[in-house]
Amino acid sequence: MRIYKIFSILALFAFAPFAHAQSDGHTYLQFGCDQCHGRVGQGSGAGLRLAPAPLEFEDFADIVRRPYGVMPAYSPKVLSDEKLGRIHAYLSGIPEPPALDAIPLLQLD
Amino acid sequence: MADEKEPKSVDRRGFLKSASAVSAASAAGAIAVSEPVAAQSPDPAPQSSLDKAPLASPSESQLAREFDPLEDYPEEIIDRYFVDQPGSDYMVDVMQAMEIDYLAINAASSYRGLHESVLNYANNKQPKILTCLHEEQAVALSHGYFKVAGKPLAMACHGTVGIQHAAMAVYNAWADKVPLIIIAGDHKDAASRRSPVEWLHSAQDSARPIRDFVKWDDTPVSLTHFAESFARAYRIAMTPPMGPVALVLDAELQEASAAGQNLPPLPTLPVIHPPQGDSGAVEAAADLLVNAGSPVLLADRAIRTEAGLAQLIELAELLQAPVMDRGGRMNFPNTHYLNHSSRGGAAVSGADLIFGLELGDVWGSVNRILDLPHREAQARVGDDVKVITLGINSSFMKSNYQDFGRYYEPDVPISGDVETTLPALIEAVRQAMSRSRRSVIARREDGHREAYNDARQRDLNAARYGWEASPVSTARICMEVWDKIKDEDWGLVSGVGFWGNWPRRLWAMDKTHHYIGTSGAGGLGYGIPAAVGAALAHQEQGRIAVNLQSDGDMLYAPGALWTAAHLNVPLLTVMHNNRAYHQEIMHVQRVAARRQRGVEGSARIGNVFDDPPVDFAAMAKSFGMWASGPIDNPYDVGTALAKAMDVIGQGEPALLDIVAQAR
Ligand code: HEC
Repeated sequence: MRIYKIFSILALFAFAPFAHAQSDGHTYLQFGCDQCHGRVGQGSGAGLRLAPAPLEFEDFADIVRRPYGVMPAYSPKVLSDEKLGRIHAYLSGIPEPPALDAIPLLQLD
Repeated sequence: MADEKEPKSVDRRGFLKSASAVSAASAAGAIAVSEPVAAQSPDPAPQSSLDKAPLASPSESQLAREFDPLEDYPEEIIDRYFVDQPGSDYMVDVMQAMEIDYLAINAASSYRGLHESVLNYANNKQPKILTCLHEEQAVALSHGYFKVAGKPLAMACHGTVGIQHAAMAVYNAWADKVPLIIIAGDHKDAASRRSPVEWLHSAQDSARPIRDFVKWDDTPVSLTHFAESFARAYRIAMTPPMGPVALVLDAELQEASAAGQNLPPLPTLPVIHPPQGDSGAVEAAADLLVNAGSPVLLADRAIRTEAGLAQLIELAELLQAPVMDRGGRMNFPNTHYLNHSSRGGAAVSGADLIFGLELGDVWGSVNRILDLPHREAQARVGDDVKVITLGINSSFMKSNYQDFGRYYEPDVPISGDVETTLPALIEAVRQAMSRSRRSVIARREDGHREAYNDARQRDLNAARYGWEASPVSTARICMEVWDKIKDEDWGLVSGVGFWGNWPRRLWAMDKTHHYIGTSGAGGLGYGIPAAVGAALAHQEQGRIAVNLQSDGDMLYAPGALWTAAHLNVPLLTVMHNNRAYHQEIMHVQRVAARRQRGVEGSARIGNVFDDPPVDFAAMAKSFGMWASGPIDNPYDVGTALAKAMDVIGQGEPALLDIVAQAR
């Protein structure tokens, strides 16, 4: 069983330029990203799906700084590039969920 | 039903007591020896037992039921200690005539007379007492009951401390357009209040704290006045726009003897014919609907019955118009290809005609204000979109509380009850539909089916993200529950906005009883007691009730768990245990980001209650309910649910505490 807990994920991703050893989602939670995007970036009625495979860091950071819609803008003053890197690393470490046809409870039709 | 009851003791003392009874209930009028009512009316209405009590020559059987020991009592002792034919017995007769099956109460001395009559005069059968541990719970229980049963029960509380406790739940019912009959006890005569408690529990105007959000209230000063006001209250509450009503009951009116009073025949149950929309407006609407290129129907608190549901399906199919079910009630089956609720704004933005059916917020359906520092309005639809509304709820409103939403003037506003008007509208649409229009309209069907299937596929795909996460995703919990209930006769009795709306997206909902909307005004403390009331109504129909329960809401009203265990209703409660008011974290975080400040995590303070975490299973067990949890492994949910369903299968309530994601 591929159960994971947010607090035990230790994935590191080189393509996040500011990636830190800490990529357990702590920063993601502390800045309330989970409130709209879900604990594992799965999305909700209040925010889009971010993970797995988030946008490349540059595009990712650009949207967080200058969102295009109703998302609050997080300026560097409140969320540094370094911390945003940690968030990105966390989201990059979220594994792909099971395929739709591998989940019996979602075989509805 | 009153007729089925054994005749009440008919006493000689009635003669003695009647003078004081009448002076106590002074507005009741002169002492009169009642004429047989049959002589007054060839087709008599049901009579109260008081009317049936002749004041002379009791029969043998009546004598047999006499209160024999009294024969040895001197008159002054009888007069000092005993009361026969109390006014509240007649009140119970009236409640029976109004077919009130239950009285949800939080016990209070100011209506002890009525309470006792229900127990010992009505034998706790009709109405039957539903013991609640808070007035707010008694109101919310009534609220949930009505939305499943379609008939009101009554609730009773103190007029002062009780009404104030009840107030929030009354506001929810008001905003949700649900009829409630609130009975509040009081001690009107200042000269007879016997203790500081009775002074504290008296008010000049007991209903005042809730008057802004009840349709009507009254303080009857005689039993005749009570009977008329109860029937009037019932009529007002049940006539769309439905809503709560309140009656304040003087303790003395309940407790003093009514013997010898010439009481009127019991009122008959009001027959309600909800108003139908103006025929000219209906024709104008039909014309617009038939000729629109891309009409969309938005239904909110529109549908009450299966017949109404069938009519709305018929209209939508005739017009090939997708329906957005806004979820105030279950308005449209989510299994139907014209249910486009899952498409969100996309279903509305391309419309050239919007038809709102009992739509609470019309302005907000065609416009929006984003949560940005400058609250600028944006249109959701094109400039030339036409708007028709059909509904009656907006025709009755009060000034203080602003639940009516922003002003909007539709092109064709039809004032009328949706279900009552739909047959005429469907007929008008048929009349307005030329053969060529019919074929143009029919060509929309494939596109609508495709959009429906796409949205469904998107929903299914979205549900798999976070499938294996802990805390458990809301999608996972909902689908684990669905797996266990889908072959049962079930009703969802909670709102699901904080559950990603998954049940409304993925469970098969095609009956009105599958979903009953939300609290109305968003006042917490609605969820669990309303679920208990709804479960009671479902139980009467042999169904099980499913309550997806927010933890924040539960902590307002946990005593309702006791009522569920006490009533033994088959209610499955699944906790959305996310240990916070997540909505509020989001709000504070938004404001902090806007102000470019805040230390990490500060938005959580005041919004999170995870330290210590609440043990909801222990809480439920302490109230005598089967419970299990907390469960945070998604792969444990199914097994735990199976155990809970065994308990539900026995007709008992069960609670499962699941550590869940925010939404
Ligand atoms: C109040 C809700 C909310 C919060 C909090 C929030 N977001 Fe968003 N986010 C949104 C919404 C809504 C969108 C869609 C774009 C828009 O409306 O601005 C979005 C879009 C995004 C996108 C673009 C996704 C895409 O594929 O286009 C990224 C990246 C993102 N958010 C990251 C974050 C991060 C990182 C945080 C925390 C620092 C965060 N968001 C906090 C609501 C939120």
